[in-house]
Amino acid sequence: MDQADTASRDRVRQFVRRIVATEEHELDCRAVLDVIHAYVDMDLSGGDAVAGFPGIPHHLMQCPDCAEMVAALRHVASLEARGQLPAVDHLWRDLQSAVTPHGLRPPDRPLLSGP
Amino acid sequence: MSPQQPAARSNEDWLVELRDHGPRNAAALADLREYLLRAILVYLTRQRSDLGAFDYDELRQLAEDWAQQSLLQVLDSIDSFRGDSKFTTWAYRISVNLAAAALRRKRWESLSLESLTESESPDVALKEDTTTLSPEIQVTRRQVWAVISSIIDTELTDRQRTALTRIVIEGVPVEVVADQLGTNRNNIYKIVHDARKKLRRELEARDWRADDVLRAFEDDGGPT
Repeated sequence: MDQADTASRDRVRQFVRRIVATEEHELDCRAVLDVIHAYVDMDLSGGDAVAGFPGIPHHLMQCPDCAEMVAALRHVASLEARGQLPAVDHLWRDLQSAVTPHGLRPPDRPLLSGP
Repeated sequence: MSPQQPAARSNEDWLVELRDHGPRNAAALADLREYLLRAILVYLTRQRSDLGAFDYDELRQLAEDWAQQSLLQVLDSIDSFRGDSKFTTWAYRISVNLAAAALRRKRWESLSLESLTESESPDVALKEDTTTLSPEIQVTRRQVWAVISSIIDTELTDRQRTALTRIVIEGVPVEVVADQLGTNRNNIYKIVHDARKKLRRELEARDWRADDVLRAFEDDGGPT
């Protein structure tokens, strides 16, 4: 089985699990994006974000794109809160290390995409 | 704080200085743009492991563009900031969301060009290394997927069927599917949610227990 088949099979498997976990009423992406910054800050400051924002964890389970965004937001807000947000020059160097010299290698098919 | 860091501000300072018309405004704009750029770069370098297809100069220009676009979006929507988080966290949400969506589109553009001749089959769900699965699990997977495929084919609306096929089977990013269907990402979530509700009800109506379905479709290494 090639890489594309594996990624597609993984998406299908995730989707079947999401069908089983489906709730009658779920927050949509817009509702989540409207409060996600407060959810992340409450979580980082030790508050009970799950109780404060019911419905968000379930949406994040159903929506990999929102889950990816929350993980990224949490990471950068956490670095800032600890005074460890890297300087731009440092981050440019990191970016250079993250790409190949000529940019010719084909991308891996995304493992998770969409609700 | 490192001397390279832009000035830290309280939420109130950010709001006052970004709305100011004097020299404080220019400094606040420059600092905010740098914070947004750093958030984008942290996302790219810490959260993504799939940047190999990009040229550094191209990605650097994209990051700069996304920082500029998100700065404009922050300024456009600054009156909607409710003070329910740090101002920077609220602003990062805009820049990271913009960068993540744009990156998904960019990756799909290059991927779809490469796979124009490929045809995905829904039966990919059943393509397994059969040596790692028990015969019972293989049978259950085929039965469950047959039910789901049948419902998708016969009982979902055209939009639900199209959205599910593109996203789940073909791996098309939600933003691209939204463009193709003339709608937005939020409506795609609602379309897929309605489809999932229908599929769950139909599985229950056919006496498929959630535990059995989950067990059959867990990862080879166990539940995730």
